[in-house]
Amino acid sequence: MKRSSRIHYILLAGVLAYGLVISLVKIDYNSVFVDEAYHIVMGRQLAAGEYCPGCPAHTGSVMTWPLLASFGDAFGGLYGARIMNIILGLALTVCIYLATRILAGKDLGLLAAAIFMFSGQALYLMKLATYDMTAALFLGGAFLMTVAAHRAGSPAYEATALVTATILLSLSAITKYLLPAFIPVFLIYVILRHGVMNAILFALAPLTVFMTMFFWFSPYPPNPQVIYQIENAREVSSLPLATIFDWTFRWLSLAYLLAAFGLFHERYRRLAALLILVSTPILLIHIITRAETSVNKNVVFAIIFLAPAGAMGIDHIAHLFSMRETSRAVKVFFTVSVITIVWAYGINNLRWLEKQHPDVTPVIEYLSRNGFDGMTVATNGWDGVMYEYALESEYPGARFDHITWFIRGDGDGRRLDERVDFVICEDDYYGKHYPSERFRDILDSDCTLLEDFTIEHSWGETHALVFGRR
Amino acid sequence: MDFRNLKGERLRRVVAVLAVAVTIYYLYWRVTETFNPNALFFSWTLWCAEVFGFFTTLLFYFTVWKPTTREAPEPLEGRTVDVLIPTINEPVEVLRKTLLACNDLKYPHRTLVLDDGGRDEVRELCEELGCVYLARGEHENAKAGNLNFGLEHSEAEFVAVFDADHAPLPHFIDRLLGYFKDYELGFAQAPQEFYNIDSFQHRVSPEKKYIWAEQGLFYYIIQPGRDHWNAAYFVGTCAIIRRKALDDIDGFATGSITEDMMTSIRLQSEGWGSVYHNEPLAYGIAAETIVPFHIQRRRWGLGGWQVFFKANPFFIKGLSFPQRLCYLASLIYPFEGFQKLIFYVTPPIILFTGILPMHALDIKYLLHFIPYYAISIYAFNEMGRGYGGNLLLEQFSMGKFLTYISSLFAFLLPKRSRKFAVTPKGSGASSGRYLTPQILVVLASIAAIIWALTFLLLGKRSDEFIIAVNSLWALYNTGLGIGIILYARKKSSQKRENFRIPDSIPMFYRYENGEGREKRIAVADNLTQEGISIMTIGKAPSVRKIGLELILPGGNIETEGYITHSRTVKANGHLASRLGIKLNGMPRSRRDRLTRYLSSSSVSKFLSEFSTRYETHLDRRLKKDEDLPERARRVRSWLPAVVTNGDSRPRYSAIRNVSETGCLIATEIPVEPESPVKIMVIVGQDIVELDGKVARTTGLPVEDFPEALMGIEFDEPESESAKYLVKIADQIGELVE
Repeated sequence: MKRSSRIHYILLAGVLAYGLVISLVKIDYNSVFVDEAYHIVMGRQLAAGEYCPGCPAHTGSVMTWPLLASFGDAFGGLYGARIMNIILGLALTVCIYLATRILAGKDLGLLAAAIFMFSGQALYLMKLATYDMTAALFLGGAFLMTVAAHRAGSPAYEATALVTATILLSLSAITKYLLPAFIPVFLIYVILRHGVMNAILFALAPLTVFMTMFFWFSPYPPNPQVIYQIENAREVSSLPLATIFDWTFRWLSLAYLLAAFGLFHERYRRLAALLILVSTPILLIHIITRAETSVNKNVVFAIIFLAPAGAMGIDHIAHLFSMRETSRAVKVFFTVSVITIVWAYGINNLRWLEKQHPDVTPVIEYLSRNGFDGMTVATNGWDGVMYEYALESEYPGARFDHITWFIRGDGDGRRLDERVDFVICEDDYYGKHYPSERFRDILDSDCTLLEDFTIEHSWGETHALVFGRR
Repeated sequence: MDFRNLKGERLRRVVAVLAVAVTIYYLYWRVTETFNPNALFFSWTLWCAEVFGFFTTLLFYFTVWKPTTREAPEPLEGRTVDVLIPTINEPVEVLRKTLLACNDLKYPHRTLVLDDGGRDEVRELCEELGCVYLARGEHENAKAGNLNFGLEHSEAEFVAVFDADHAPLPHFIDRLLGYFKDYELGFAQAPQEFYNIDSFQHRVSPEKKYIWAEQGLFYYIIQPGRDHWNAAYFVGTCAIIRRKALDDIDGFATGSITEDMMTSIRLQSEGWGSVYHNEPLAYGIAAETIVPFHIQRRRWGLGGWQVFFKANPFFIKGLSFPQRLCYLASLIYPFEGFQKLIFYVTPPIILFTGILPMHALDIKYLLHFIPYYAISIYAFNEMGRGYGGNLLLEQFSMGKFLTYISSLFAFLLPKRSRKFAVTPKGSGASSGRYLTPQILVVLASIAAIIWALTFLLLGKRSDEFIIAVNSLWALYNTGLGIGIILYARKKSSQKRENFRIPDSIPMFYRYENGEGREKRIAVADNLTQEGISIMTIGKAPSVRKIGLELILPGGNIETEGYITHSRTVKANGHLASRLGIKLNGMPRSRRDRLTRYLSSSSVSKFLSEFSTRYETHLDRRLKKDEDLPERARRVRSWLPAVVTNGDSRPRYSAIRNVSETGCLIATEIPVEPESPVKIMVIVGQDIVELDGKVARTTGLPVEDFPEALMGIEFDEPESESAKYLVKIADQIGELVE
């Protein structure tokens, strides 16, 4: 192997190793997040062939990620489940590297891998045991196979690559409810690039077959509840356009800025434009619906395409800032400088993301100290599963449920069921979703405040109140 | 450049208008909605710098709205012309070259050398070459005073002015004098061209055959643009001026060390017209390193301030409004130093302090800034008609920003610091202290980036997007700084005394090989009066001393030389050698002949192979509609050849470049386009014969050296012979430094 190739692969390994180390070092950054607990529990139920009460509400995702999460959980608990995503994240980075390498050469492939791996979103989602990284890997795989089909040497290879891309895209679509947005983009591209006949045979037909099979065989096919979820997300989090715009681009400004430089790349400007275009569907959904729910995580699907465009941008910046001099050292200096900025930017974003969800460790520890097996805990949010998962080894017989299950009577005569031992009232990370004020009358009449935990977030403070039965 | 045939001119103007509209909106939005109330001074400062940029751009668009293309009229006959050459301390060899070129001017004239240095060797040179030597006792008013002293000794109707390093082509006067049929014409100006394209202010792409010159924008587009408004300006050299016009303004203007601009203003304010003839008619020496560049620009800056405050064209009577605007555009350029300084210090201030000159740097700001910036760059590029080169212009702005600022202080300080400083010719002085401002900008920018990123990583700052954007801005400034520093250092370490002209001429060389005298044919290039390089097929001679016979049109030059170095490579079964030769013992007359050839024919030939204009985006878009055949790859060649045309005597030539479909040669044979030619290329012992026809010819200007450049199309394209030649040319190209 040539020296330059050796250095190249060492650098690529370094990028992957960085992702691995950063993810592993702070894998315990937060207590279990409600979606993590949901997915793991669902996965267990699916794997055991049991009835899965949460599954209908998570249609699609139940077929992929929860099973992987429960697999990881079986080996290492929450951290095991998170490590599964680290592996998927590393695989996705390799997909982005390979796709960019095919499109624009190995140096730009390396840059794209670095941009992705240094982004806060990628690092965060690698250690958040939810379905996002699985969906992202399927999307990244579809991207890689689409690119491979584009550069295919033979019709058979082209057909195989296109069919594989279609299947991977279908998998991503059933994993995350937002990702079907990429299907029309994919089909248009295949029609334009490979012709109508190839699009019908190797994209539309496999897609139809896959989706039919999914609807036919899936134990929890899509149902109105999913539509309700999306609609609900839009209603409860609808924000002014300027705010959603700011909030969306807060995470993507630098990626788009770098990609914008790619538009001026002498060789890859059209490719950069195409990649920028492909990155937009998810953002458009958020902007059009004005729903901000999970936008800071969903932008990872845009970064998959912005990373190669950004690599072209960095290459152009290095070319431009080195004043088109042929000195390789000057070019390398600017490339490294820009990557350093990307890295620092990503670290800062990661720090923010790690503290966006409530770290309820103090509440879990409180219950661990003061609770007992068989206790009944009411929560003001739909996150009882979180405590159930965290405390299941200590209190296998404990029950955690939403407070509404324990309210008797209505109007002014509402009372809390006598079976309830503790009530946990959190200002959820939305703050407005499950305000404890709704239950103030019950808490005042039937409960005593035992603890008031202050939870610090990257965006402010919230409180978790633990009440005991009066 | 013929602007009449340039496509898309209307579209260019539409783009410019659009850019102006977008910029006005952007600046309005900036001032009304973005200022940081906690940093108003900072906000206003940056905004003012942006407004200055807009103002200069607006004036630029106005100036270059409709650049002229002129065809030289027949010269006036029987008029008297005196050529004035002001000099003070330029090397005599440089002056000799200029005077030899002046003697070659075809139009009857006298040459007056105005020596402010009072040097005996210049006096002797003038006697030898038949020029009039004049030296004044007092040296008041620098160059302008010297020129006025020349006027006192001139009775001619017209005076041509050349700097001491500017060698005119023989048809200089013939090209410009015809314009004076217009009795109201005060002066006719030609571009100030430079042949030393390895200078500090040139960038060359040998592969693309493209030269970017820092003053290209001025000479190739601004001056033709000003010409449209009757505001072309006299640049102190390469011009002919009507004596009566000069008498009207009491001679060349004094009171400013940029006497040229002041003289132009006075002439035009008296109602005299001006013409800009956009054709290279003289070649001089550009500032070779940053040192003379700095001295020259400081002088221009100081002169600009003097004119701005003492003879501001906006308040002088007699100028038209467009003329005032054109002069304003030329006068405010020293302010650019302050504008650039603001742009260089803003990102470090933001990165160090976190204070913004706007209340937020967010997506809304970028959505305003990016379209404004993109369309401004695009419009500038298009209105520059391919002579702009934003990035290189920015790099040079970095190179001279403090020069302009210091020129203001020189203007404000006591008079002694305002002394006229001649631009030194040749390299030598250290560039170190002239690069201090750029080094400081680079260091401050890098330090600021490190500082801000460290604080970001430590969690002490959370304005990550502001830091990222300003780090990119600071990096850009760093790039500008590093670019100019590296280039300046590269030029400073350049040891060559003179620019080697990359012309190729056929030649013979002779040497003793032990068995007797051997004579071989070769091609000479990298030509100077002191030395040449030789490319020859065969092994390098093992002796040091060789005889040389340069085959020039109108008669060969024989001399001797020493081989200083040699290198041999294998080329397609042959040995090819590259020899470095120091010329020795050439008599003065032959040396002068070589000098005359080099400064006229050779310079014209090699520069004609380069383009000074790049294609803009609109050019490329509009060209797509044309069905142009793809041009075969051309390879520079150093192969000698014998060319015949019908009954004419065979002549030696050098193949300048070759492709599989044709070649370019320079030869003495007068041939018309479409004429058949036979070329026998000499590759060692082999002769490769090719038949073709002349596709185009370019005549060269010197009568004593009758020669033409001919593009030949082979009768049989992609023949084995042509492929063989391309392969050999490719391989021997490795020998060239």
